[in-house]
Amino acid sequence: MNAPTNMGGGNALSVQDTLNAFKSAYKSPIADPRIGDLLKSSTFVQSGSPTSGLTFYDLELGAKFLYPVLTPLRNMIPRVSGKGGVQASWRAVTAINSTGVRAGVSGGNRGGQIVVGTTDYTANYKGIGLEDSVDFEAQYAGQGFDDVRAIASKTLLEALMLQEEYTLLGGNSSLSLGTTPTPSATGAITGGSLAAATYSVICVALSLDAVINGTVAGGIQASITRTNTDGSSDTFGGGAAQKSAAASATVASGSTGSISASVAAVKGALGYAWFWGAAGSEVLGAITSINSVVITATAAGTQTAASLPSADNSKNTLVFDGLLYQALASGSNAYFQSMATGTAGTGTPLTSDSAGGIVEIDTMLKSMWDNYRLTPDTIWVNSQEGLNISKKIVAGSSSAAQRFVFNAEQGMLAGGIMVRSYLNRFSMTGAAEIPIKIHPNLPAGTILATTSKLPYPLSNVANVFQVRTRQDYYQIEWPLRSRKYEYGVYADQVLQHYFPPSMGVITNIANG
Amino acid sequence: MIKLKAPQGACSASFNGEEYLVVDGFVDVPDNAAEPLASHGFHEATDDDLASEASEDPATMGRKELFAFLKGRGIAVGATVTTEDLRKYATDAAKPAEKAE
Repeated sequence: MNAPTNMGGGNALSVQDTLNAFKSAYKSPIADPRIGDLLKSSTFVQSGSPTSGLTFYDLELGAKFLYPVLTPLRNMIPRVSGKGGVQASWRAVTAINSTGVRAGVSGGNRGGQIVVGTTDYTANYKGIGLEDSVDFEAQYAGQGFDDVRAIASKTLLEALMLQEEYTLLGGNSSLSLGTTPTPSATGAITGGSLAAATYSVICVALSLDAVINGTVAGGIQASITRTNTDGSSDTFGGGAAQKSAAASATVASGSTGSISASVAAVKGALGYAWFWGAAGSEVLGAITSINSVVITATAAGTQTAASLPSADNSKNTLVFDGLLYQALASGSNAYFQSMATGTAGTGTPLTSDSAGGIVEIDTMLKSMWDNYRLTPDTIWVNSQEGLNISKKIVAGSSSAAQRFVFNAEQGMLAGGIMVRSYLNRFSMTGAAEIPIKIHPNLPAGTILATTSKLPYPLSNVANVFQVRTRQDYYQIEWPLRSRKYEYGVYADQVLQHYFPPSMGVITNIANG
Repeated sequence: MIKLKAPQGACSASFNGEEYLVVDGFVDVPDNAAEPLASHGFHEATDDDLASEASEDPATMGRKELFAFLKGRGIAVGATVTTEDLRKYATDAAKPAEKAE
């Protein structure tokens, strides 16, 4: 390696010496101060901020819309035009030969006369609508990026459709939940972290509206007074029943106490809010989908029971009745089952029949067949029930009653099993397949079955349920009254259900 | 009124706004309270339950029974406590209940 490199006969450097000289030169800063200063800084460098310096701001044009607009009922329910008036009215023949007059006749004589049952029905139209606005500066600022006024209109319509979906499912203008029954409660020295004391427990039954909009942190809504865009105001029920009287429960000693509490299930309640603490200072601590709770710690909310009005606010008279509350209404003749209280805090889950079915669903389907000779065509569930039904059907069948259809294509075998439909064993046409659909707004613990076709000849019912509108969706851009564009999207309508007995509701279902 | 056997550790039962204290594992409540309180682990006291309770005299209990007796009343004791001390604690624990009666 250190071979001489003397080619001219002068001072000879070895290759290694040359390399070492280069390395040394690279390591040392340039001694010349004029060159050194030039290299210390650049004229242009990348900005440390995306919004300063000569830096391109790589913003994609057009806002993204990252929120779900899931409105399955609104999408599937037919919309028909009304003809004015304040209510949709119809009359129905509900039974023929209801007294069971026998058909046999004697020679030369006429037969007996039958009795026909008729019923009158009405459904009041209700207006629904929301508003928003875009001020001039917001529009100026958005130029070149997106049309803010168009976004305002689009999102407003979507917001109204979402509210309409809640109403179609569980709007409640007619079913009063009343006063929540007084809880039964038991104090124990084990099972939690409650200190020894006497606790007071208060319960509030909740309609769908209150369940959807209630949280432990934010509280439940009783009476709501809303200031509208035009300065007017509306007061309506937020879905909470009148609170119960207090129940006392004593934790006798120690600091590991717990309390179990339960109330008689309230028809129309899809949830229950629980307040506890010292008498007179009860605080919201839990919202359950069943009619019982086990209290293991101090309530974490801030809303006090004392702040709730002593009145039933379960109804909202500004909306029409949705499917759930038309089914739950007294005299609807829809199938209804509330699962038993079971063990407080645990409740009663759906039951596998160990033959590929669910006992409670079969009971409902059998009842609908036995009483009305019909089969529902959709079972709406919460994700909780969707999962539990699947588990029970798959795990509860020791006789392999299910039929599995495998897609043989490579890569098409996925893990997990989800039951997508349920075979109704009670049907004239053999087993009828009923799709099981998860509804985004149906709370845990409730199942709703709906029927969109009546198996009755010449029923004169084109749609079993439909949205009848006096005025379908319309948008108003209000006249300018300040430097902002104001929009409203409205509709005037009612959910008309011609045959509520074609629905079935199971509530108070425990998770499991 | 009906006498219910309380679940382990229960101190009280509340029904229809009235609280009924559990004494020696039993509580007397109105007849119509039996069904809702069943969800909380209460059941109608049987002859066996009552006989079992009658035998709960600390003076006649063995060491294991004394531990269970004290645990049922929320009193924690160490494993090294002598049987005599256990019996003394159990006797003391039983006194307030007797007074309540």
